[in-house]
Parts: sequence; structure tokens; C-alpha cells
Amino acid sequence: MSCDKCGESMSYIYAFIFSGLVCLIGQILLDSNKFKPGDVTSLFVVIGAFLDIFGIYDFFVTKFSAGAMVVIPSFGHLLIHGALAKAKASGLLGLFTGMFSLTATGITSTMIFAFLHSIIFKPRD
Amino acid sequence: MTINFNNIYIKEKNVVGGPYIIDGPLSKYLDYKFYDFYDGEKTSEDCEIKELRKSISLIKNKYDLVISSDLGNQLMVSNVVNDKINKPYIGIYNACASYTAGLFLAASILQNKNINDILVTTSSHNLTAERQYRNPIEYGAPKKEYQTFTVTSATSTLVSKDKTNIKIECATIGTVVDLGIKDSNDMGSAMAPAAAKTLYDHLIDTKRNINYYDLILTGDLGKYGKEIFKEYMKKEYNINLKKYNDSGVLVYDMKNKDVCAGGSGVSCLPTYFLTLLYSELEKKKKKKILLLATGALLSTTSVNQKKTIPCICHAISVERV
Amino acid sequence: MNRKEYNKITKKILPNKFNLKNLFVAFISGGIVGILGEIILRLYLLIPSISMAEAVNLMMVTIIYLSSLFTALGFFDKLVSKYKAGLIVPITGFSHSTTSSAIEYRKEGLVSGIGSNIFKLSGSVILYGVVSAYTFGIIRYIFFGG
Repeated sequence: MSCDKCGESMSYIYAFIFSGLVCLIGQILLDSNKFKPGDVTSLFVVIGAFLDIFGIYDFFVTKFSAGAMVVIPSFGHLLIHGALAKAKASGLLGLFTGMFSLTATGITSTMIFAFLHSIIFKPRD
Repeated sequence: MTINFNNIYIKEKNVVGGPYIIDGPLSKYLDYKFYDFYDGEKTSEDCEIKELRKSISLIKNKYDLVISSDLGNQLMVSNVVNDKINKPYIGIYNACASYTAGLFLAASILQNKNINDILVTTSSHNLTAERQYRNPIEYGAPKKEYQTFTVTSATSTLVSKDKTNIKIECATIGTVVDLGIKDSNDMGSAMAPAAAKTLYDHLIDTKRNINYYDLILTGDLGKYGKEIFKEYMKKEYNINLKKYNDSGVLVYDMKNKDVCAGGSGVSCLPTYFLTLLYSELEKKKKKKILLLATGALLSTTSVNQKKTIPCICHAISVERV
Repeated sequence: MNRKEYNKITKKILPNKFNLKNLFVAFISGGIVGILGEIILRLYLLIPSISMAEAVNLMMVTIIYLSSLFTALGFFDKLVSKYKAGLIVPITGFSHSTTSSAIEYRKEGLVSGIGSNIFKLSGSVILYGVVSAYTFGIIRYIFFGG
């Protein structure tokens, strides 16, 4: 991953625009009453992986920096990249081996924090 | 099907109100209040159990049998509460139409000369219902403007053959109506046709005019559901509703609280009926009312399988004698 | 009355589906999460000899941790309800749904409660992410060589 816009203050604005736009599309889908929040996030993750067949999401990450990394399609992007990196080295089996290599941090930390917090805190509302 | 009764009265009643009810328009009529969704218990189910127990314990007169209803899977709350009561017990589930169904069953069973008093209870709790039908409590799924907010309260109604001022005069048992609504957040739209059909059948069976009643009260159609109901009655049965309202918009302080389209739940209609409306009946401000409790007969399975929502409505006519 | 005619009545009375205010709120709040991500990323990049990949990982872990903590503290659900897609679409939504399920089902035990239900809302994201990454990965591998 490279970030050739790092160091420029424009990158904050780009991050805002991209992240905001993706959320806006998500809100349109939610408001249509045909999608639940889980449907929207699952769809976006698939789109993130799909766009990287052609390297489109890589371009987004380069240009929009954290804006593209913070939204859920980046998850799909990381999954397909991890899989392909290993596939390049060891053939098609590498798709299985490398799948979680880049997303391991995200998934592991989510599980650990969710578990810890569920032990310490109780539901309120 | 409409059944007439001539010896059935309401002898005693109470409402135990929880959050959102206690600071609404019914506040001064409540018999007991609890101030948060857990009331010192570990789970919301335990809280619901505690409040229903409290409601039943406030009943001073004797009763021979208990008919209970709530929204939980397999009626967990009603079952657990009735364990300590030690009276013959029947749990019933008609979703939010359970209250009038319970009154009808009580009135019918009381026709047996060996039984004199039956206690009909209802219980609902916002967090328990949310957790079962929608999402985990701490999950902030965006709320739709037209969805309803389950009422947190427990009610008890003692139905008896001993004569009092409040008489249960007749009951119309509804048939299931399903006009194809699939959105489980839009129960008002789903239930309105069922209420309309039961109301119409009731008027035909009793040969009464729509203006016979001082108030026609639906259970929990909500802010939008009640307008849909009025429109549907006009278009389908050519009846203009005038003296009509819905408990869902009457139990909460709709202006200041974020309760979307209003209240719902098994306890919604009885919470309004047994408080403000009951006092109006006793003071003779209203003499004849028709309770139309509406229920959406869905389950989490039916929603996931993309089935439409069948609905039902049972009517009870109550008179001040 | 048939279903079609009834739909006409309900459509007339129910509030409008699309609400410009909702869309605006989602855009702004989503954008703010993006900016926050960028700020956190820059802060981590200040650490000497840290690589870009490590900084990005740290940034994600930070956001995941904060979403989880705020969910457990009890106010994040009100924020999500208010800002809608702006907090659901970023990874804050993933962390929030996992944590809220875990907290909810804790009272049903460690295995049948937390263990069985922790991925109730977020499991589909992982599942379809993996399935699509695999499928599209094969396509890319075959056509573009990886």
C-alpha cells in the first residue's frame, strides 16, 4: 500500500468526501426499506472485493487515504489482496492460505474487545 | 362470531407502569410505578417477571383461575410468575390481541356455575420484545418513523359474575386477515385491515350503528396505522369513524419522547383502558366503549422466511351500568 | 380490497421513504469518521520507523477498540441510531454489532450465549467477504495472473 498524498492537508478533505459518499450510498439503501443494516454491510464488502479484480479499490486507497480504509469495503479489499498475495507465491491454494493475512488484525481485535467488554459491562438502555 | 354476556363485570383492576409510561399522560392513574428498564434485576425478563408479580399481588379480591398473556417465546414471563400464584392457570398467545382474547375467554369460562372470578393479566417489556423480535439491546439500528415502541407495563383485570358498574357486554372474535404486508417494522399497516373486519362484523352481528359507541379504541395501530384504519374503513366498508382513537398514541407523551409512531405490545390497550378510560367510565363521562385489540401474528422465523404478516383483532364491548 | 389497492392507501399515509435530512446526516457523519481515521493514521505515522501497513493496522485497531468501548459504555447505540449509515458502514459498525451481540448474550452463558451469538449480526460480513474474495480472487488470478 502506498499513500502518495501523505503529508498534504488535502488528504483530510479527500478522506471526508470518500467516506461520506460511501455512507450516503449506504443510507439510500437503508432508507429504501429493502435492506437491513447487515445486508448493506455485506453488500459493500462484496463490492470492495469485486472492485479489486481491476485494482479500482487500490486506486481509492491511494487517492483517498484513510477515507477508503475506514469504510467496510476496505475489508473486502484486504481479503482479496491477502488471498492473491499468497496465490502469487504458491498457486491457487494460496487463496485459502493468505485470505486472512491482512485482515487478521481487524477480526482478532474485534473478537477480543467484544468478548472482554461483554465480561466487564452489562447491557443497559 | 359475536357472543353476548349478561352477567360479566370487571370487579377490580390495576396497572403497573414502567419507563415512558410513568412520565406520560397516564402517570397519575397508575397503581404502581417502576423507574428503569431493569428495576434492580439482572435481565429485562427478570424485571418483567417482577412487575407482573407486583401487579398480581396488588389484587385484593379472590379469584379462581388465571389467564395470562405476554409477548415472550413460549410465554416465559407468564409461566414463571404463575408458579408462585398457585391457582389454576392458562397462558394464551394472540400477540397484542391477547387482552381482549383473554377477556372473552374469561367471560366464557365464567358461564360455568362453579367459577365466579377470573384474573386476566398482561405483561410486556420494551427490551424483552426488542431483543426477541429485533436486535440486541445495545445495538443501535436506526429506527423507522413508522415503527412502534413496545409499552413496558403489567396489568391485571379481575373479571367476575358479581355485579359492579363496569359490564363486559359482548365479544366479537376476529378472523385472521393478511393483506400482504411483510415489513415487520410496519405493524400498523399490517393490523389495520384485521381491526376493520372485526369492527364491521361486530356492527353487523349486533345490528348497531357506528355512532352507538362513545369511543372505539384500537390497540396499537400507532400514529400512521390509525389513519390507515380510518381510510380503509371508509373505502372498504363505507363507514366514517368519528369517535375513534388508538391506545398507541395515547399512552405516551408523544411530543417530548422519542417513541416513533407510538406504543404497542400486549399491555398497550389495557394500560390505557384500565387507567384514564376506566376513570372516565366510572365518572359516566363515557358509557359505551368498544375495545379492538389488534395482534400481528408474526414470528422471527416467519419474517426471515419472507412470509407476509397475518393479523387478528378481537373486540370487547364494555358498558357503564 | 386486494393487496395492490391496500398498498395505495398505506403508501399515501406512511411518511416519505427518502428523507434528505437522513442522507445529509449520513454523509456528514460518515465523512467525520473518515477524517478521524486520517488523523489517527497521521498520528501513528509520526512514530519513527513505522511502516505504512503497521500504521494502518494500528489505526483500524484503535477505531475498533473505541467503537467496542463506547458500545459497552452504553451510548454508542444512541449515536448509531442518530447518525445511521454514517456509523454503520465504516468498521465502527462491524465492531459495534459484534460487541452489542456479545454483551446481550452474556447472560445466556459463555458457550451457548456469547459463543453462539457473537457473530449474529456481523458474521455475514465475514462470510460474504471471504466467499467473494475467493471467487473474485480466482477470476483475477486466471485473467490477470494475480
